Amino acid sequence: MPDPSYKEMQPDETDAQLIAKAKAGDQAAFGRLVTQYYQRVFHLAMTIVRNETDALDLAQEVFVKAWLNLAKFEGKSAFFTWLYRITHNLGIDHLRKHNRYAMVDFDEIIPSEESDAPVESQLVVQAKQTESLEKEELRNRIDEAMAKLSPEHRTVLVLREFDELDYQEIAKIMECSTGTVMSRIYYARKHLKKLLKGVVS
Amino acid sequence: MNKEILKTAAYVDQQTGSVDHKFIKRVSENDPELASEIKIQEDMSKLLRSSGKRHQTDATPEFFWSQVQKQIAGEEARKRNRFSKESILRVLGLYWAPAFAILLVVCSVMLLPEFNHSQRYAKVLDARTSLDKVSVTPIQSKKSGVTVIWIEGLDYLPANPDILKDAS
Repeated sequence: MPDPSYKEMQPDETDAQLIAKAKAGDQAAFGRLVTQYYQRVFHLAMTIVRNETDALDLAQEVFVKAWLNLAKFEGKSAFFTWLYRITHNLGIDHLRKHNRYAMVDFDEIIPSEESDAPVESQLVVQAKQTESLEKEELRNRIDEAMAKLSPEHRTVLVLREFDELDYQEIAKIMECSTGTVMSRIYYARKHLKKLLKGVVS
Repeated sequence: MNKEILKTAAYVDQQTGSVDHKFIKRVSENDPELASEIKIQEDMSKLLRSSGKRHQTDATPEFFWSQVQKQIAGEEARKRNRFSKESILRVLGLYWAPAFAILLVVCSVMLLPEFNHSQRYAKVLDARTSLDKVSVTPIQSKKSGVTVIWIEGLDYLPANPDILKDAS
């Protein structure tokens, strides 16, 4: 039976207050944090694993792991940064388990125009048609292109463009240097641009 | 790869230091390639922010939390189970260790005398006879306080008591 007791808590409680209560064993306080962040965690999970069922399972696993390891959270970073780090690690583990993970090197190679041809041919749309694309269709095209990026590139773009995190926060989540973050964002946008050639002018 | 080109992402995201930012801005004014890279980075950023899909689950907060709660309960039960098993082993260990030590002591007390059995007899090495063909081996039992003198090579009995005079 679901426990709706988190609803009875003060709505203006900060993360720090809720975390302190949760650390003391207050599961309802933790429930508030879960309901506050589960969509964001799901979005990142979905970005990495690209499967709704897996992403939902993964998001739940993130919060279970967070609860079990709450004592280790020292509050040095934002709570969602910590959650995102767990999500990223579990997501990459999930892909590895299913042999769907390919790490991106720092000095990766942007595929040439020729090698992109089959992908692009699916996406190329006349400029005129582009103008008439419904916003939802455009979203779907962008999402399809995103799906073709590596998990690391997808993640870095989502953390930057959707969550508007700075490079240092992204580096903490992805456990890499800010230089690597910069490189990944650069290459990810370049890849995306190639994949969306013809879709957007 | 031109280092400045790689930095265009950070430039667009305003994640460079002020020195780098001014430098890239200045160079890009006269470098079409760099300017083009900046444009790509800006365009893709804007596109994702304006038209990127934010995936959302249909699961309601209540449902999602209830699922998480169930999993937490399961994990905690597993953890408790594991802990209690470990505790039992630890307790058993605590009891078995002294019991084993006592057993070891008992065995030592019982078996050591057997191991020392040979040490209860002292062989007298210096014993000799005046006759070459007669040998003597005196053995003293410390336990019973008896000394046995083993003589070989006698032609007849009783032995000449003088033979034993030299035995120490």
